Amino acid sequence: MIKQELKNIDELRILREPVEGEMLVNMGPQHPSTHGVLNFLLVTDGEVMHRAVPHIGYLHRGIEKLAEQTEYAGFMPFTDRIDYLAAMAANQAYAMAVEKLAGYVVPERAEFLRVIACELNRIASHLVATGSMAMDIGAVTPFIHWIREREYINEITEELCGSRLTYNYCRIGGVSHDLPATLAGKILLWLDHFEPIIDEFDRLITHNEIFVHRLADVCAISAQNATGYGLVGPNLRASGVDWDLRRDKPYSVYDRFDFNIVLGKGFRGAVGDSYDRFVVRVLEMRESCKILRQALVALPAGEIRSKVPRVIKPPVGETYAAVEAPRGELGYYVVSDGVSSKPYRVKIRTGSFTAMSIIESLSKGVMIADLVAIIGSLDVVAPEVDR
Amino acid sequence: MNFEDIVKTLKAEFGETVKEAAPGTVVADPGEIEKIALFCRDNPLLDFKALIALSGVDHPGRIEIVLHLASYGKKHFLVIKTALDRNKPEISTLENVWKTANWHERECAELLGVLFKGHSDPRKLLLPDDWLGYPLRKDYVPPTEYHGISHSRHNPVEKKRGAPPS
Repeated sequence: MIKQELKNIDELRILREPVEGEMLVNMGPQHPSTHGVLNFLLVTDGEVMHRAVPHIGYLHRGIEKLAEQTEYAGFMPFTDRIDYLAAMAANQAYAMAVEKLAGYVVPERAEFLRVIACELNRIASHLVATGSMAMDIGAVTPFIHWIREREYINEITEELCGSRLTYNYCRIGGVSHDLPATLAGKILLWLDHFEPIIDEFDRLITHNEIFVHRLADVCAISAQNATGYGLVGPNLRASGVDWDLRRDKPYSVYDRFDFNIVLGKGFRGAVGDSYDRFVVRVLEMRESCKILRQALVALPAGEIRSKVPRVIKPPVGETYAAVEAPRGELGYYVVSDGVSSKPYRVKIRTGSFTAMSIIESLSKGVMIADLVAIIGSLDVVAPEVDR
Repeated sequence: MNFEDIVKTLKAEFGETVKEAAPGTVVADPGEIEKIALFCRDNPLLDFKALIALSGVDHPGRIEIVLHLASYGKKHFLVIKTALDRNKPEISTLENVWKTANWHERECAELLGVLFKGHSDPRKLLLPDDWLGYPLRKDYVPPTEYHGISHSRHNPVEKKRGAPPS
């Protein structure tokens, strides 16, 4: 009944034949470094793991089932709860899917506002990802610095849409609130403040020799494995695969901005090791700052929401829309039956789900302490795994 | 490579077992799915090295398995659909083609009751091990309790109808 119970004989038999000197250890479900409620069953000799079996599902809320019982517009707040660190991207992807399905046009200003909100959210999410990764490994100070910076972003989004975590900012056909007159200046001021802080962060932790030696060459993922296991986003790019939906399948207005795709190059070790995944995220924050500056300058005037009927009934059909969320491709496969105002089926493809699935194959022969580094570097968020 | 060329390449290899459906989508024969998947992955022109998502949809009378494929090198996409008998949905596993299919299939199996033949790890993934029924099927009736824990609870603040005002 309870998943992590060890007396389940079948479970043990599937795991492996017991070997002299081996033991089974539970890590989680309540463990400070597992980024949410998830459980690992470790087969270990005490120091080196022979296998780590992830048990997920503790946060499974059946969001896909809820979608079938909620009207199209009413599902938007649920999307916030898929990935609480990057709710804006989940909002945008769902709005894009329904707009594509029903054929609504989004005003240009709304597209820009979505980009601004998403890039702010990307920085906020990477701040937590890199900060908590450093903290998991033992460096507490950077996390405190990052949380201070994230607080400014929270204040900006609070002024933008009234929320600090679950934004519910996108509407089908636009966004909920216009950018307040003074906020663009505030964001620019914050960017002027934040970019030097990244340099400070680099001095503090990214180029810290102890930190580098702790992470370099730990659990390198080859490009072939990363693609095969369906890794997406920074995890995929850290392995050297040049793929970013913002550039390769342009959505919204991303084709108008000039930014670089950051790839893992084996900065201090092998390509695709834990340190690469860390550095890729730090560098992506700089790229997001670039996009933000361009978007704030180019922000056109106009409507923020197009006329959309109160009850949305898309024609029969299906669509897949995906965005480059901070944790990689976040996509919605939405099926409409043409008569109902509720989706017939919504499938949500998230980055953490596939990132979680690679851990078992990575874990063989790795120290238990490095498992923490793997989870941290893959930036797994438990509600996104379970949905 | 545009969609027409992808369909041509697939038809040249598999003939009528692959049919063109909506733009960007082909419908494949469920029996041939493993061969088609392998061909899509290994053909240098198609190069679908990534399985983006494997979804199941419960349509009246059939369960559809939908594969979203992407090629990172060639920058093109393909959707492969295949329909299974709703009373006995069975399909061969694709975990030997794309490793990520392992978890996608486990999720699809427990939520829609699809049997993936040859799957190496058929345990439940998201639901508790003793969960009954397949929640994403349209005729699923949600349970009212789980091990004695009720799913609904009366509101202690709301007054009962007809109770005198206090």
